[in-house]
Amino acid sequence: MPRKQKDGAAVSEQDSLNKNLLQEKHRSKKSRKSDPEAHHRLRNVAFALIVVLLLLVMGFMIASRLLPEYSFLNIPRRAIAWVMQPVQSYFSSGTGWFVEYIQRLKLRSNIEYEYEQLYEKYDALLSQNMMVNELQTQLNEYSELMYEMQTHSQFDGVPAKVISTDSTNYFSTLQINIGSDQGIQDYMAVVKAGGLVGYTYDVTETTAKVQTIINSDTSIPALIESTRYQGTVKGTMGINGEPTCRMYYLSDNHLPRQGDTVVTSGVGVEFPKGIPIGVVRESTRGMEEGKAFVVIEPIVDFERVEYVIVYRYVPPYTEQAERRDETDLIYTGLPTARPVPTFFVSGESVFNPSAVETPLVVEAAQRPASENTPAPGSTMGIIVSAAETPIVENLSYDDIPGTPTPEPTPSPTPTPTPVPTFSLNSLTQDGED
Amino acid sequence: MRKVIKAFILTIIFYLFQVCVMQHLKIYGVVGNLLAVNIAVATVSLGKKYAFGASCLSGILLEAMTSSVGGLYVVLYPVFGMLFAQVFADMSDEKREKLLLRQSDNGKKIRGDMNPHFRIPLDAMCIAAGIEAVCLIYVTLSGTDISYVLFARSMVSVLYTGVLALVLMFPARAYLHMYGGRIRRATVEEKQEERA
Repeated sequence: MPRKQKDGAAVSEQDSLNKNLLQEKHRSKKSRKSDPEAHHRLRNVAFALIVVLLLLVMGFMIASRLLPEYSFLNIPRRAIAWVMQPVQSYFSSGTGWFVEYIQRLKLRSNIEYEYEQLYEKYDALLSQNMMVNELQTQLNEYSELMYEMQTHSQFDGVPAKVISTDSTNYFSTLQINIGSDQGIQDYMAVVKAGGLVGYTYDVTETTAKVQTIINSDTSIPALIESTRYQGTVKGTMGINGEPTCRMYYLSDNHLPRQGDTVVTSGVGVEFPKGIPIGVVRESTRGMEEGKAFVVIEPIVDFERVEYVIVYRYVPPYTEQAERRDETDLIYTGLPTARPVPTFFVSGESVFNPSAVETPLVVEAAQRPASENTPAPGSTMGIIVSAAETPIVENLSYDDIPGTPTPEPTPSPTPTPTPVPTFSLNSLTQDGED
Repeated sequence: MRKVIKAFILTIIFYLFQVCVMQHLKIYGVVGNLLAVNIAVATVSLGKKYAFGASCLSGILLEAMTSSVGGLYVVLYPVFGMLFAQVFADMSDEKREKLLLRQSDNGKKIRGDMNPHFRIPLDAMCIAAGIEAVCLIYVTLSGTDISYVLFARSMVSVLYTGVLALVLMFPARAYLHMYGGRIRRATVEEKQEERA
């Protein structure tokens, strides 16, 4: 309790002191306010001094302009400049930094805006470019189709677009966007870029399906363009999965050369004659056991078939019957690739004359050899580059019509004077090796 | 005295903004006149004496730092500042009493001072217009052909100054405690004294 009393007394003393101080302050303020005239006088004097100072400065400035020879008149100007120069320079640099920052922000926003604009343009141009490429491709396709249709206008072709492919069957069947409304019927020839694609079937009013020539169900009468031997072309998709064809039922004693073109024969189906199907890729029929076919590489790339032409040409029945013995072609196909024989001397190629126009070969073939008489039908000293298959008796590659076939030598005859250009013996031995 | 210092600082700030900032805020290549705004604010808010001080200081600063024509600004700013201060400054107590007496005698209602927020832009525009007019005359006398473009630039400058005055009078007047700052401070002091 006594401690509390002591604390309370101390507090009351402090309060009284504070009150006294505040009262003194109040009194001093009141005394200042109580003499407003003196205060007013003081303010007026100060204002007058300021005005006089300003007027003096102004007067000095004007006078310095009028009387430039008196340098002391420039003192106020220099003094003001001396004071204001650093302030102004600092303020100016700060302002410049701020303005630069704002401009940078603006530039950045402009760059972002430009970037967005350019990106939009890039996107637009990209899609435009893709569209142009697509249209270019379409144009090329249409140009080819148009050329094909103009070239074979007698077949009444109509262009069609492939709208679906049977992917489960390795493109063996296609569907096109035209049907019976456009005059399409079953078993009409479908071509692309000078090659046979297949034939139509399952035709509806607006669509039709195309059985391609690589389908194993397809069977198309065909013939070798150069020799006119006939056979039947079938697809191999269902056999070995390759998009090729095989030609069956050729004459036993004839073997087409590699590169020979196979065309439609027009027999049995309502196809125009002479549509190219493909070229002979592998011709070893009869040389291997159980191999009774010739492998044909189709002309058409079946993985890139987008547009086709359907020939609405339907030959009359009598014409079909007559065709069995016809040999003239209606379809003007691509030029046939013929095999090119190659001469080898000591394993090196000497020259590549055509098999037809080489007088040296004929001359060499007619000369009797002293040793190792060549087998009948084979050309002396000539090694066909692709003919690396084993030699089988009574089987030879077909000669192109018009080319004289050398007769086999009946008996050995004395060796004639060697031709100065090359040795027949060495050539024959090289060839046999 | 505090008011004098504040007016002085305000003039310095306006001057610095005029010479450092306004060159980045050109409209159609025309700069506004911030010093005219400052003089107008001083005229309407503080009175003719302060208007004279602000205009003299503005002229002196411009003359000392950025003058291209000798003695032009140091004359123009005080002259136009004081000229338009006669029109736009608050009327004196004597004049107000005379007006009230005349009103009581005639019974006619006589208008007092216009709202300061109208007077400040008008004063600034008038000062800017006066300075622009003198400058145009000076340019013409110097041999430049006066053209529509020069007038248009002058008009844009005057309007730009008016807009600047409209925008800047509020912070400037707030800095000068024209929006109740003094009253609020006085009431706070009184309350503190009462508590004590």
